[in-house]
Amino acid sequence: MEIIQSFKENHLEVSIVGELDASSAIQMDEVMNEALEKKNFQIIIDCAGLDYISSAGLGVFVSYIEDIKSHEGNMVFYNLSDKVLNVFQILGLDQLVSIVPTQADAIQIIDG
Amino acid sequence: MANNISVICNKNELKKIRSFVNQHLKDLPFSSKEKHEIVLAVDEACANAIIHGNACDEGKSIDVVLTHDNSTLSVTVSDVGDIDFVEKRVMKKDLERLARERKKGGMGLHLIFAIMDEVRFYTRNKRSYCTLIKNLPH
Repeated sequence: MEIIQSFKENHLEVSIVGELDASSAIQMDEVMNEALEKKNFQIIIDCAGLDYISSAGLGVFVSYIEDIKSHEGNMVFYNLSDKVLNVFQILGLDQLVSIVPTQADAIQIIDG
Repeated sequence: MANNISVICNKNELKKIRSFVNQHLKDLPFSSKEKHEIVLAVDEACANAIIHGNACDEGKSIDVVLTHDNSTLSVTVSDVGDIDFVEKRVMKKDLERLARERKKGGMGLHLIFAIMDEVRFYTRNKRSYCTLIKNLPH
């Protein structure tokens, strides 16, 4: 799995490429942990290259929801494939985070 | 028809198991969405066995056996771990609570129960078994 980070003026853009499972979740966790330590609380996540996600991958995002909320931040996912979106929906994570179709939609949420 | 794979208790082996299950499902009459969900459920069961059952001890292994007949697909994951059924039930938790508690785990069993038609846990001869059953479409 590859994680690409782009630091923009008012948000962090994270692109995930490959499979986010129990094996690679630690890599995702390190990126999220570092982002929040550096006070990046507006995060948009590009899932166009995300081929697969398991509960361990989703668990990383779930564990940062409260910290992001408490800093009035946002975690917005976009470009999800039907299969990845289905996993979010089975667990109900689509009710706790924002999921939008495009990058422009994600930025719109960040910009308020 | 039966197929099986055995892997050491290393999380990197999960990809190999997913590929094995995908290959086995190729000719079964599930939709693409259902096949993906079954692979996910097996992945979750194996991750549980590797991480919680065997603490990623590479000296141990887990076995995955797939069988099917005209009505059901059955996938059994077995390991030498000793987490019992009651503990596994407790691991099924509410997502909002996990978020409040900043927990990263605890959702795997929820996925397994949501996807499969039946889930059985049992121990035999000091080995733990988890059998996932999915009815084939009519």
